[in-house]
Amino acid sequence: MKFFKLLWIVFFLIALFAKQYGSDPLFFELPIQIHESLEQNQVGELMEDGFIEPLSVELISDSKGPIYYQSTIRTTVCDDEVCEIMNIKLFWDLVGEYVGYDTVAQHPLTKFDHEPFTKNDYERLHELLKNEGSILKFKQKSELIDKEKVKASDVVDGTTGATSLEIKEEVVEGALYSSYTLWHLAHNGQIKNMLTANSRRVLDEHLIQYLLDSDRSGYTLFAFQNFQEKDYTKYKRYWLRSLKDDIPLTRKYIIKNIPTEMWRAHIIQEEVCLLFNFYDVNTKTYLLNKIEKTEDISSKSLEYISFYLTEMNRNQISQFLDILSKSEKLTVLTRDNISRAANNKEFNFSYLINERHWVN
Amino acid sequence: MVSWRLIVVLYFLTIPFVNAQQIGSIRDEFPEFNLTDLNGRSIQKSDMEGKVVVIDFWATWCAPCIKSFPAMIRAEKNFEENKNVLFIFVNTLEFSGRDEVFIKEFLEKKGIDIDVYLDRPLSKGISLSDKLSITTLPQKMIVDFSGNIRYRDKGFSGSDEELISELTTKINSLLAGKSDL
Repeated sequence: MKFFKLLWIVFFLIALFAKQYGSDPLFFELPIQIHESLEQNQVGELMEDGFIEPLSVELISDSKGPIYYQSTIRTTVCDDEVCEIMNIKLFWDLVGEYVGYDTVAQHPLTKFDHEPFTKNDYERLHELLKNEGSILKFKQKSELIDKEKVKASDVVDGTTGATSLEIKEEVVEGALYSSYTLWHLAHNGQIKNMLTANSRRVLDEHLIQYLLDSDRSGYTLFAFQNFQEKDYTKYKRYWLRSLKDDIPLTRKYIIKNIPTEMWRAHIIQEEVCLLFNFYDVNTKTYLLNKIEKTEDISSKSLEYISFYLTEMNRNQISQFLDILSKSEKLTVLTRDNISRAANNKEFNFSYLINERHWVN
Repeated sequence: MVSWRLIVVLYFLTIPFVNAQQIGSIRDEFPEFNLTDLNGRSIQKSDMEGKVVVIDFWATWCAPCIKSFPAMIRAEKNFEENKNVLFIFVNTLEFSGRDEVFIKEFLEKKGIDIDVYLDRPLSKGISLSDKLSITTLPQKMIVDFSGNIRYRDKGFSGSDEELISELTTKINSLLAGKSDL
């Protein structure tokens, strides 16, 4: 019995050892198995203030194509009293979004009191780095500590000085400057530009398909941003799916960039308008603006939208009624929908329809 | 029957600790080295023999390092008559491309008059700071007559007097042959 207990301990230690020294990064958000056979190609180098040596970024590919970027970084972290060298490996996806980090062998992360990071600290750091909208984005390094409010009990990175609560909540306790430096590396604009430029350079049919098949909103948007006109026809089901399910930014991009020639086709207008109920408020407005500028909009498209009159805001209803008034032929169902909305006592904006004498 | 099992178990149990030892250990004995200063003069461990040596590790990107120089220069001046005390300023962990020309100009611009030795990785990629596991700057060490590291301090509080007093006390203790600093 004792032997099995010992055996269990051994397996646990081996697992811990493998985690520490194996190839799996500490944190990695992409659904990819990292293994040694992955191909590494240097993308470029970047030198910025604080880097000990030029930062070199690698593109990692499997047998099918590119899958992510990585860089092993050696940077400096300083406060007023002391400077540290920090070693870390950062991972970005194919559009330059941070997806994880790992420690470098023999260089665990430490706090400014030289205490090593705890498991919680490592997790906290990953959560911080994942937050693209962190308050650290808007802060200069000099703003991290308020020198006017010195509090002996306030220890962040071992410095004396009060750290505002808003910043404290965003960083790993005891590692303010490390957290700040790493966030600005993970979301460094120059690095992101280098990565997206490279992805654009290696973009081929396979990669477009890979991006479109992904559930990462950044990937689909990047694919659409790099579409040629013919791609809108080839990948119609993908951009229609994104119109239905994707983030507002992507929907807006698609509606804005559907090739003019393609948009003239009534079948396309109808497929886009059929999804009206799935759109967020801004996309609805954006689509109505596009329709208003369209010379020949199909009556079926207007019919599809008319089903959701009561879901629109005041401005959208007014705009839609303007569009309808200019349309020469409205379907019976469109007229029914307008009439139903006009007579709907629970619909706050029915008066907007009645003012225009739309009731049949 | 149990003994071989125990051996296997103990073998696996020791793996993480063996690695930890390799990663974290810092020897008390100052390692062998050979550094060259900005004028091409070299220094090695044998030059430290029989002396109390204060070594200041610094880099141009490290503001606290630069701030501590006036105090270090004053501390060095306090012992300039004593041939048994040696101050060494070691430029280390430097940004790529910052060579001796850059360091010279940097010191001239700042008006800092010190003799600086350059610590750069050799062909095998090992620098003195690697050997001493230095990742924090500024870092000051005091090595005794026998070549053992007796004092190691990281950072600079900003107080010149505090630093001078600390170093002077430690140096005098070692010169007096005190074993306890």
